[in-house]
Amino acid sequence: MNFNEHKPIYLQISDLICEKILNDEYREDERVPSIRDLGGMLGVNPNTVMRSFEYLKTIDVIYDKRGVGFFVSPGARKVVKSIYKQLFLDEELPLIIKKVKLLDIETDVLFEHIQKGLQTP
Amino acid sequence: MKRMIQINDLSFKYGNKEVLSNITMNLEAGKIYGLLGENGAGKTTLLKIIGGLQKPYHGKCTVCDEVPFQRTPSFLSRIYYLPEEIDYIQTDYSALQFADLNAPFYPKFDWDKFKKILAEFDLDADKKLRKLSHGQSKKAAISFAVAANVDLLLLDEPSNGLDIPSKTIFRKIMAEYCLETTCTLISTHQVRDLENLIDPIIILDNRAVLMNESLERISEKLCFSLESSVPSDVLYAEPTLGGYLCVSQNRNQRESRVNLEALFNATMQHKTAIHNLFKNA
Amino acid sequence: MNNNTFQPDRFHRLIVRNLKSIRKYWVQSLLIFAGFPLLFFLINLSNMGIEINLHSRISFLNGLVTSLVIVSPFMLFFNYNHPKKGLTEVMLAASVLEKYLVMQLACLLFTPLAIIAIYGGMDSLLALLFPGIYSGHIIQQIMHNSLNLHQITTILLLQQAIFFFNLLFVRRKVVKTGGVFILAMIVTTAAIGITASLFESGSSSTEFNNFNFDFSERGLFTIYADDHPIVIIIQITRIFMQVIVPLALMTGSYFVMKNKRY
Repeated sequence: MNFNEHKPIYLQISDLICEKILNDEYREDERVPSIRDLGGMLGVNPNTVMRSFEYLKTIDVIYDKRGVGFFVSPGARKVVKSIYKQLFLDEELPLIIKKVKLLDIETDVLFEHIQKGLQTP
Repeated sequence: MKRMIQINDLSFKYGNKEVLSNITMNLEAGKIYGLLGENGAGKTTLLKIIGGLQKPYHGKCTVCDEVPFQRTPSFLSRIYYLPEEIDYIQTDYSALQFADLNAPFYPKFDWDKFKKILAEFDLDADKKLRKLSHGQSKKAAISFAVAANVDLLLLDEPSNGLDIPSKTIFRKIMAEYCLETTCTLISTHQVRDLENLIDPIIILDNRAVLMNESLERISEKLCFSLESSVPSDVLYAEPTLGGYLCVSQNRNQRESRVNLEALFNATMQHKTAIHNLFKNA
Repeated sequence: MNNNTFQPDRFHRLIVRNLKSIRKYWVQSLLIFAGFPLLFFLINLSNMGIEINLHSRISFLNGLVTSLVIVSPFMLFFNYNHPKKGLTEVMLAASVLEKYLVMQLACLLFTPLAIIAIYGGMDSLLALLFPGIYSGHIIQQIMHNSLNLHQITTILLLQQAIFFFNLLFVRRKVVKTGGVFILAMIVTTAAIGITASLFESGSSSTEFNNFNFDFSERGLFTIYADDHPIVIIIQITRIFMQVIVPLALMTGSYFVMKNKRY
């Protein structure tokens, strides 16, 4: 996995887990890889992975069963979707809009592209 | 977290040249510390003192309440020191024979772990170590060090001499196989090799420990950002693709990823300012 | 017993490790030490007119054991104090006392025993099979023919000197040790010369020339009040060289090991 330069690693790992929840790789009430296994897969300090898990716990995406491991919370998919939706609207979209303004892209051209993109599977 | 190493006012000199002056630091179990410093900053000397190979002329160093230089069996069975130059392993034994000879002296040595790590490094466990390339021998040495399951693991430039794919495997092995109870201290000047693995970060200068902080705390106090032009109150800036990588005081509580190289450069250039920044809670 | 100074179980592990680590020497030793009796046998067999009898074989064994025991520290533990090559041994979880004792045992006990066993064993084998050509068993004779105290203490002195300097010097140790030995010989010769000339000037030269004393009869620690001063000096020197110096070297070796910095 290539980590990007700007976001803290523990958040990027959370992103990764959320992505896998969204695409059904990690299913609700199923166990996610242990801190050590994930650290080993990614080459990341286990304490960083733990921080990531702690964060996901606070937003109710995963829960832990002592001595057994971490599991995807029921309803996690909905939670993840709504968080990332908000993130997209609050942070990623403004950046796109900024670029649209900078490059003087006309609104109808923009919407045409969006519509075409939404139609393709 | 359990305190493993306590160093107080430590000084050391080679002949007349003082290599470490009044160094004070504490290290805890369960962490993988990165020890950064320029060449000659005293990193290897510090590791040797902690490992019991050298004796400070002033100050105290204790590991689990024992003085390393006494080299008691109880101390020695709990630590492993992996130096930069691995002549000691280039013998006529194979990796497996080397382990057969020495594993009995490490009470928690794990043979399964050893073989798994050798396999991940793609090493021929039966070939004479003397006949392996430098990189291969280094990997064999690392395999034994990790499989020894010691309480204190001292690695001096472990990634030096490894090819690029092996550096990645090294990080993965460290993350997966080091015990939760182990205190690991890795010295390096190739920060990129150990990115994402080391946390906390120690920056050593001969005269002082300039920094000994977790990445979490560093990112609370410092902000690492990409700017198109250099702001006036920046601590450090270097030109990079897309503008300037800037290190500044984190006034807006932005959460950014710590860039270790920039952190190091910033700290070396503004020793006092950064030291004061972290001194306050 | 203090756990950190000596633990029989750990000591045993160290001995086992030591024996395992010189595995490559086992085959070599076997071939060389068993080879000599075989060689002598072949010489006897060939009609060269030379016969190597029991006495010569024992003398040869004496020489072999003596020389190898003396240099055994160099042969077995050359890299033990090397900061890079000897690191494993330095950091091995055993006390300095245990490591020291294993090294001494290897040099003082295992080495001569191994040589005598292999050489003597091959010798006896040949004597059993070919009594006509190869007569007598060394092993039987060795009990009667053992070295006297003086020879043993000299061997001990030289060996402990090499043991000590092997630990003290790190680089160019053979050259440096050789240098020390040469220096010691020069100093000894000078001391003898000075002492002799001192006495020569005091008493008449005839008395000195007629000086006749058999030291082999005199026990090491026996000094009589009416002994000639030279005898007293020589006895003291003997005690010094054969007891005090070896003990000092042995103690010194231990302390070098304990305090060595790498």
